[in-house]
Amino acid sequence: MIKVRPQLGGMGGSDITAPIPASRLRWQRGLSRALFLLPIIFMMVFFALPLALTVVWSVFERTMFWMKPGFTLFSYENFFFSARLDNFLSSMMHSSVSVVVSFVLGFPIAVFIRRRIPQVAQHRVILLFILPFMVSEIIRIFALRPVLQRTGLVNTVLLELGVITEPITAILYTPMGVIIGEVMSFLPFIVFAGFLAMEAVPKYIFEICDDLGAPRHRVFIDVILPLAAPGIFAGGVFIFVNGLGVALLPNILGGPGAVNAGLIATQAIAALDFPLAMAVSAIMMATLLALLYLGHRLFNLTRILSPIN
Amino acid sequence: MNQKNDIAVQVSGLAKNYGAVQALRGVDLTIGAGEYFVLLGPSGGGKTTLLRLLGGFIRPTAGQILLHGRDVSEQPPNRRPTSMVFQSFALFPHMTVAQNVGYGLRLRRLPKAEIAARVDAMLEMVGLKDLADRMPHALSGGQQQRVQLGRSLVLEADILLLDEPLAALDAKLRKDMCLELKHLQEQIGITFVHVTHNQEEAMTVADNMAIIADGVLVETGTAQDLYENPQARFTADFIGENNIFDGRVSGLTGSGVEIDLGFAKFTVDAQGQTPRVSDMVSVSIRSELVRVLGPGEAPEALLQTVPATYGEAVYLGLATSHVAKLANGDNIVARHVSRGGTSDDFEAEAPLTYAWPRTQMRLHLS
Repeated sequence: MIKVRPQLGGMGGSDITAPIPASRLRWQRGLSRALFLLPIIFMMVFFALPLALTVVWSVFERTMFWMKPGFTLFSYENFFFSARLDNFLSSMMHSSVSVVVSFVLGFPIAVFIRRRIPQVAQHRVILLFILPFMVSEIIRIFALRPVLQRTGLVNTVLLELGVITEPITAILYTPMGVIIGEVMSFLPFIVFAGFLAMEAVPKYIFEICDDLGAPRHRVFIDVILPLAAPGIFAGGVFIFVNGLGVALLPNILGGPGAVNAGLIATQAIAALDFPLAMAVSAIMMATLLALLYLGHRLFNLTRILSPIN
Repeated sequence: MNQKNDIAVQVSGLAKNYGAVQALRGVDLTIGAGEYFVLLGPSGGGKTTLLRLLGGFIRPTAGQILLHGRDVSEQPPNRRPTSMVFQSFALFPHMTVAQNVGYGLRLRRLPKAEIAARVDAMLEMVGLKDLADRMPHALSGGQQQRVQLGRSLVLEADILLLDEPLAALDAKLRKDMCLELKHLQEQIGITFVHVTHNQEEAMTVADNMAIIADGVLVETGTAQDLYENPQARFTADFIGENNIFDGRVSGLTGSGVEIDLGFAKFTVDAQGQTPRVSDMVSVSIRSELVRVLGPGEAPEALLQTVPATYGEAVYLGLATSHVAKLANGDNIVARHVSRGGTSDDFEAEAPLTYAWPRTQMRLHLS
């Protein structure tokens, strides 16, 4: 609380030790408390409360243009006993594939940056992975179309090279297209998460492993994976949940077989079936909470932010 | 395990540069098998570089490393007969004590039962039998270093490298662990190479030691050699508490060397060295051999004396240091065993005579 203020010319040194008026101390303390309270209030009103209401609204009855208070499980029935459940489950599959592909491509990058790039340059390299976010997501995803479509870049090049004789149609308007889009969009997150996770793997570990003669794959399996697990899991959950929830990806890149939870909810809203949209959201939230609980039991997620001493 | 007359480590012309910095220059060193060898020197002097070169964690810029007669200069750590104990608490944080100790054996694909038996025996040896299932973060600093010792020793390497293993421990624990290390080494009989900047630690454990400073191997010998008869001026300055006088050789008489210090002239025995007239040399005398003669106290024959102006007494428990100024402004220190009371005291600015046996003076040409 005591601050050393710049001394003005002509003032005595005794001014430094002069007590700060009690009223001002009280005011400062109040201000610092408000600085913490404000965001909490904001998040309560605009995040936690609406999410809680989502669950409440999901059991309301549907009216022509909105909904009215009541209690019915009709929306859940509508979700669980229709093609929506199949779509939801297959989008979980596709998201899982995206998580695995992102991990396989992205985690080695994180390890490489930690191990081989000089400490001072590490954060600059990580910064490169933020650059894609400077372009609007919708444009990034849409730009994939001319690359992947029937007469797109990939097909033209492969045809010209004679690698294929027929254009590949399996890479756009299919689950494959969505997975490509998801990996492109979310790869940086596994790099960030992996980079943070590697903080939990102290440098000396690698010297011990050299001394004991551990081959690279054993170092990875026995040491890096267990130590970095919480961070890797957090990155994986992030990608998985976004794969389920971001409607944009299946909307632009998907086809009939590639509809995720986000798109189901969007379509329900377009059809003015608000309770169904709420029910889908509630189910997604439940899925996320279940995943986080599982991850916490397995890896103790609080370890992410507390590197070992 | 090894015969005493075998050679465990033979290093010749070893050098290591980091960019323009020469961390180590032309080091030649031989360590006998079964020796407890200490690399002692100030921080940043290159002793850890030498140890890491022996372990294979860095490659030499020049020179050769033979371990038990085999050239390993370009071999990785696990292809050398060495095992390393790292500076501070380098353990696998997600493994128990037993798993930490057994990991090296697991990598060698030994049968589970054999691993368990050898880990058990090792934990018994390093005194961690009851802590086998603890995680590293639940151990004290001393216990963590024992786990490291166990992890290295269980592999039965011929040479154990210890990189400041006790640096992070408090003084009391460090003393106890020192003796334990020494006894452990005597019990197992393998070669230990131990790096430290702590003189007491070095003298406690070492059979032989090397002084390393500024990337150069200054001198090797037993603790007693280096304390009582250091060859190099640096050693005299670094080990124990010595008064050092720099001067120029002004005359040679038989084996006697006359040295002009400016404010006095000493005559010292050459001790087999061959100085030439007008060489810059140094003379040293251990401070505990120096006596302070009160005013009017007559010096005995065979004593070298210098006049000094008394400064102050520094009480250090066992000993009291009496610091005085010489005519050239340098300090001279006499260490007496503290006698308690005030009988020891001299008055500040008092003109006194500092004296010591001539035969105990040592000549340093470098």
